[in-house]
Amino acid sequence: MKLRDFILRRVLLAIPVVFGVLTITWFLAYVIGNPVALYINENTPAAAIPAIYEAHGFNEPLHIQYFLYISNLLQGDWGISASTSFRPVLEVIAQKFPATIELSIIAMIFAILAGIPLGIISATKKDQMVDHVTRLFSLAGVSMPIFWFALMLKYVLFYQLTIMGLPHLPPGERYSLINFRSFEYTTGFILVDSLLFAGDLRLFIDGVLHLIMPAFCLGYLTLAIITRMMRSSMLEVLKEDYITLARSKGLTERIVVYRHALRNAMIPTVTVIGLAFGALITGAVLTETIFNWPGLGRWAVRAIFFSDLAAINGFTLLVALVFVSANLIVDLVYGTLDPRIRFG
Amino acid sequence: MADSDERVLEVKGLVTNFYTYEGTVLALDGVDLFLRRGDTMGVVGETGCGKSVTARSILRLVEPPGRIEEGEILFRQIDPESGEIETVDLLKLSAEEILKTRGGKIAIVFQDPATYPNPVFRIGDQIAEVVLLHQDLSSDVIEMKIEELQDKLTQDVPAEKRSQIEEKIDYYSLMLQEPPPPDDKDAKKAALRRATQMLEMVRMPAPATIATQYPHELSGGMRQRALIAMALACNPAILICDEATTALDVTVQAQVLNLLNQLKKEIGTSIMIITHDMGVVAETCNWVNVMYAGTTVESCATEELFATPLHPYTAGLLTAVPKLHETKDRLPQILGTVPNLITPPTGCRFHPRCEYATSICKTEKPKLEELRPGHWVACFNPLE
Repeated sequence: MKLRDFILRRVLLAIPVVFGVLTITWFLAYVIGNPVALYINENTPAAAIPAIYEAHGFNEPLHIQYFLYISNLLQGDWGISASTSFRPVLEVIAQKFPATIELSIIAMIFAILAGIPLGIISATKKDQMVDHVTRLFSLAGVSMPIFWFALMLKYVLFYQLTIMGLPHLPPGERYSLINFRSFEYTTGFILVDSLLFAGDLRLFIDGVLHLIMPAFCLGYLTLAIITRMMRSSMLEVLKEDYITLARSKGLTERIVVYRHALRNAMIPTVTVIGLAFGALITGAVLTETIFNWPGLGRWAVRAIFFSDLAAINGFTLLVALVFVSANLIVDLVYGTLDPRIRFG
Repeated sequence: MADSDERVLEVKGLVTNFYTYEGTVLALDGVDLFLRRGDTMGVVGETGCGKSVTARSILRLVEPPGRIEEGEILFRQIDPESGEIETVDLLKLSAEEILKTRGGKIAIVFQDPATYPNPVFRIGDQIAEVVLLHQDLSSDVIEMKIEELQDKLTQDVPAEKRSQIEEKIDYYSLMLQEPPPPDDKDAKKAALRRATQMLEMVRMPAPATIATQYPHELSGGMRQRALIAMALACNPAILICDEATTALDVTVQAQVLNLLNQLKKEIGTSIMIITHDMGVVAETCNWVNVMYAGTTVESCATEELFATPLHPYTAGLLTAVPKLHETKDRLPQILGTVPNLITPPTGCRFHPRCEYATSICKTEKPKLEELRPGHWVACFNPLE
């Protein structure tokens, strides 16, 4: 009962947040360019231009246009993306979102599975060689620009290996388009579709190979942030009195660290993980562009180039929703980790 | 020989240093003390005189940058089968063996009930954890099963089933003679049952409920009792209370001290109480060790210490305690301050503040000697 009330309250609180994000982007997007440009090419007669303005409602006052957008949105109409062959925004999102989500989830899993143990080892072996190496590795992760790092990876793991005639990783796309010409998406997740619907193990392996480089690039920054956070909160927790108590009970160092310290140290790390998941969706913009990944990020960049207002707003709305849900999940995880913050 | 057999714990020449950026802190400089079986022994001294470091050194819980450098910590336990006394030097035990001693044979209750229990685990689980680690629960498990069956009998059950259950109880009762090793799940349940019993023993109201609660749901006094229950859960030979009552208000403090002395009789534990409160010592301890700047300066029975202190520091400490029957504007104090232990005074560490100091005090360190029967003092010019 309490849990349901908590979720309900958080969802209600999220509404003004999402609405605020939407309002700000809507007006900001209007400033960056003329949306009518998308509907005009060199063959459009000059006399027809005023009619285009009229037809799309661009002659209305700004606030009327805004209210029109919102009322359409509430009816499930996210508008038409003029830069994507005039297809409905919602349809494009439904088609491209799985690619981004799949990439982000794999990147996140990699970041968590590697970041947390690295942080723990770094903290328990403080100032030893392992710690120094880990710190250097995570410092590089937070300092390196993703686009540069992605290009370097591609240069070495695809280009150089190919030249040397060695097995190499694919440079982009979600699977080898040439080898699997007849493949059609069902859920949009390549790893799921290849196994469950196409039943093709070769396609699955191909999909995994295509995921490695982009997922590593995308996850590296998050991994670095998680490692650093885990290390510092673990060091903090290991100084706590309850750790001395745990040691005084005669528990082995392993149990002291992994049972008594880890759960307490996870609390700040979980916050970072939640925020980072939202950031992954937006971070995918660069990674997707470099690895030719047919996801939302690339689509959003194109939309911005063309001042495709409906697409920009749709993308922002989606990102806001992802952030809000990630934070809700974080709060729920908090409750299970720490009894003191149980959905009060 | 009989004299030393009585001493369940004996610390000899313990030296512990802390290697900090500011320099080496010579925290313990040859601490000597002993705890006799069944005694409640107090360790008193000002803040920073090394009481807590001594307690932690005994369990080898000194963490870097601290390190135990020298000394012997002899622990004499009675073998439960042969009844013989077995002496081990805790400082020479392997890492594995010291883990068995901690919590199992020597337990410690720390100062601050607010920060010592782990905030994310239930009280019962935290107590059960230490029971599971050190105790053989095989007979507990069988007892638990018998209890469960007896519970069933009190309810309405058909006659045929009743006889079945009774048969089962008989079967388990037989097993009690030589209980088989329990499986993990049963052991956990039994450990939790033991935890609840421990909470009841420390006079906790509604122990079964408390066991399922988290530390933040309890008051300070209750948390301290939970910590005591945790420490006593394995019937340790020695219980060290490191300022265990300092954070509590006076009435709760009195309750906890009373409780400790009652439990001592029930379990047969020897207790070492670390405190800076002379009142606590007078009320609960029958032996006192006075520490000053990392050394033991005086050690004797409590009445003797209060009646005839021999060390100038002890005497100064006692005159600084307000007395009910005297009216004074200002309490006398020991002049000067506690020395910086990075550069401690040469010779006797108390000499700069001592009104009886002579030239030898500046150059030589006095040894702890038995000046009167059962009264040890480390001083060149003891009061007579």
